[in-house]
Amino acid sequence: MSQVAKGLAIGLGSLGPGIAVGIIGGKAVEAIGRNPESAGVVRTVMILAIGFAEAIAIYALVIALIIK
Amino acid sequence: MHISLVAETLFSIGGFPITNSFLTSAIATVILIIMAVIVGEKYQKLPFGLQHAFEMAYEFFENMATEVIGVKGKKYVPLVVTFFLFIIFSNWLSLVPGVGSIGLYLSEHGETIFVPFFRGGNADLNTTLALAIISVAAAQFYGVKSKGIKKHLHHFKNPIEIVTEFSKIFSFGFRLFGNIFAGEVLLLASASIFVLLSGNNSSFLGIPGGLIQAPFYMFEVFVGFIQAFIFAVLTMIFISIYVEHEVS
Repeated sequence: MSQVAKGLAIGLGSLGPGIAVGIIGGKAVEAIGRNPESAGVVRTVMILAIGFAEAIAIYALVIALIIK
Repeated sequence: MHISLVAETLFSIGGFPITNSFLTSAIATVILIIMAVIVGEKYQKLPFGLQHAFEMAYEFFENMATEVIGVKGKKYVPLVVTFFLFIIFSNWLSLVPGVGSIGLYLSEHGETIFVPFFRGGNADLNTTLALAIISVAAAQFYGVKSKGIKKHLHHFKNPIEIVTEFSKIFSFGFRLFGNIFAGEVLLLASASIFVLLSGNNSSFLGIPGGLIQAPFYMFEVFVGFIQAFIFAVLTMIFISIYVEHEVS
């Protein structure tokens, strides 16, 4: 049963962040397409936002590793 | 395949336990000190390679500080750049061949486990939590020093703000720990995938496993840089929230 728990923890826990990273990337590409001069600033902000979103998936992974 | 969430203690010096993560962090510190001494001795106006790399990192954060805070922001840059350099060297040192793979087989509680001599510096929750606490405490300290304690406590009129500070510590620590530790587990799992699939414990199956591991290794190099960058930029942003900005 704990195997199911581990699998569910990481599986369900990475649904949200996966979608979030996709949306962030899409919006960033859109912004660069509208205004190619702002590519540098947009890239920096995008990487920051992706880092935040990834962190949620990492919390889920750590829980999955902790469960015995 | 045995993965241990906790960094294993190798020996103790006078009651202070030395873990394998601590060894790697110490080596990273020594390398940084040596590089700092070299660049300091041979400082030139027209920068050479190593000095150029350090200046690029320093100027990036200096520009960001002056953009957000103003000219006074320059005195917060050394702390942020220190975080960046220490974390990036710790992360990249954990990818050196031999770290995590050279060690001893010890038997504890009746089963034999593998204890590596070196392990990624940030693959230990203690290190990352310590960095997170320093980062958040530095933001508070600079806020009080810049604005005075009364104006600083205005930020905390709503008690939820205190919880926010603790959640920052938690999220900083776990983001860095999770990324680096999960990276190590990912490298281990991808390299030993043929051993796991076939159940045959022959070490020659590690050779094609290394080919499978190669793209994940490149990804880990990238992640090491990104996590250092995110930590430093977030520290700079949290300091700038509490510090007096210059009106331009």
